[in-house]
Amino acid sequence: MIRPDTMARLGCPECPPPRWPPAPKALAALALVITLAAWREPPPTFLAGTALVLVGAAARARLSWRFFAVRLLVLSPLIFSLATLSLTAPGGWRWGVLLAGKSLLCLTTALLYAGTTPFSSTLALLRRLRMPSLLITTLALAYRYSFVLTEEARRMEVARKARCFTPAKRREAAWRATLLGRLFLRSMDRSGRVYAAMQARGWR
Amino acid sequence: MHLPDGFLDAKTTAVTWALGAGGVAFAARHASAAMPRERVPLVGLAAAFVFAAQMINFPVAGGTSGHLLGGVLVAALLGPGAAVIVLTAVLTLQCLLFADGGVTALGANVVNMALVGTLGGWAVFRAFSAIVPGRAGRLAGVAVGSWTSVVLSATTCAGQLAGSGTVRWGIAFPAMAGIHAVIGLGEAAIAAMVWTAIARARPELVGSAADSESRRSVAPLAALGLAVALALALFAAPFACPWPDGLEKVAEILGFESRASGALPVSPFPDYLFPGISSERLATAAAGALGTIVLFGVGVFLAWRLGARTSRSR
Repeated sequence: MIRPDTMARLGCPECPPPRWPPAPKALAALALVITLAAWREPPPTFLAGTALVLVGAAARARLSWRFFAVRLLVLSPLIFSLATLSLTAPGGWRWGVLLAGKSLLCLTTALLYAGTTPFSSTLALLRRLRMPSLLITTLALAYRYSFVLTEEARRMEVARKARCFTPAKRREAAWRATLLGRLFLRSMDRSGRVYAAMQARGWR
Repeated sequence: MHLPDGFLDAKTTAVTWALGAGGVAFAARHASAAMPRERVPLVGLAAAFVFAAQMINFPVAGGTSGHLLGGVLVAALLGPGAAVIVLTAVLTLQCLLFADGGVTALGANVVNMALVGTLGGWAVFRAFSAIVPGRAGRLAGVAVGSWTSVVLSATTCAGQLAGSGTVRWGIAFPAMAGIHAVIGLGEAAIAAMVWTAIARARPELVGSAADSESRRSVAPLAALGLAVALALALFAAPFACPWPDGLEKVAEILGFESRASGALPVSPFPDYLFPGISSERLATAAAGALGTIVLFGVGVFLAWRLGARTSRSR
């Protein structure tokens, strides 16, 4: 799980890919990911060519190498674990390497899209695809408030330290559970205020 | 457990997307109909809560740490329909914002964690709440339901990998279910502690609604429990580890294995094999299924007798 603070936009918002309209960009990224996932054994030249295109697009977007490095470092262990398990399949090690390569290219494509597209554009796209309105509202609120609640949890922890309340090591888990319980209750209280604000702005 | 892109074949991807989209659409319709409008923001805030809660690490033995997954906890607090929407939103955000979980595998991840895991765990929570009245039953339900949700999600994930031909079922199932049976213990402990903290601060949030719902018939839940147990017996038992168990290993080391008198003269299924079936896997599955049904019958009989005695003594 990547922390929200690591996903701060590291690229250049005026550079080409962010300026491209989100719908064709999403379509192109989706088509590439589906092709890579569905093509059982693509030739190595296709994989190498795709990697070159992705590197070129990332360079044009002036996305920092750290943007990819941090995420690939966090997310690739699962890919390699699954690829290791797949070594037992009939294809042997070639199959495992191919799966890992395909999966890493899909991951890079998704990162490139996420790093160059504002989430509001993605939400607008999902709304046009007629996703259930409850899910769209939930996604929008979750995106808006996940950062607020993460910050709130951090503040609660700082407040606890400021009051010199340092629980014993064995009570640490119970204290963190209490923090989460309080955070849920604060979320409930906040939802009432959010509803009033949404109504005031004409939400239907 | 977030499946990345590239590990599922086209047919598994299509089937899981269809199942996931259908399940989420049904849950959205159910939740929208059952939920007053002022609770809609609460679902969004609950998704944000799960997201934020996953940033809080809990110390685990040996210097490692774990975090809350939260599906059953949210289902116990807000209901199953809302929990499916919350988990789907969290998985979609993780996929689209952080590339945590593949785009083509999003359907599978939703099926595994938002549908099978959350609803399976919630069914266990409801069963415990119905059988054991009061706060203790609900607390046990949250803990056991959370563990069940993690193991169920891992098992369906293993099934999808095996169905895609990526990993053999005999490897995928023990690896995924084994690791997640341990991870599930952490999830059970964290969910139970958070639930307890909420129950202490606001008892009305976890009390009356669940109590009134627990008065309903437990027959559908019992049927679901039997179905899950039968599915495990039929599909998992043939892949049980062939190594000797603890006592057999000790007997082997200490050299008294030969003194074991073997199966009882009247043993119906010697060595967990159903007589008359030539395939060993089929024979084990049949013996497991029959044993499950017999034990279920014994359990129902005991519950019925003890329940009748308790009612008379009131």
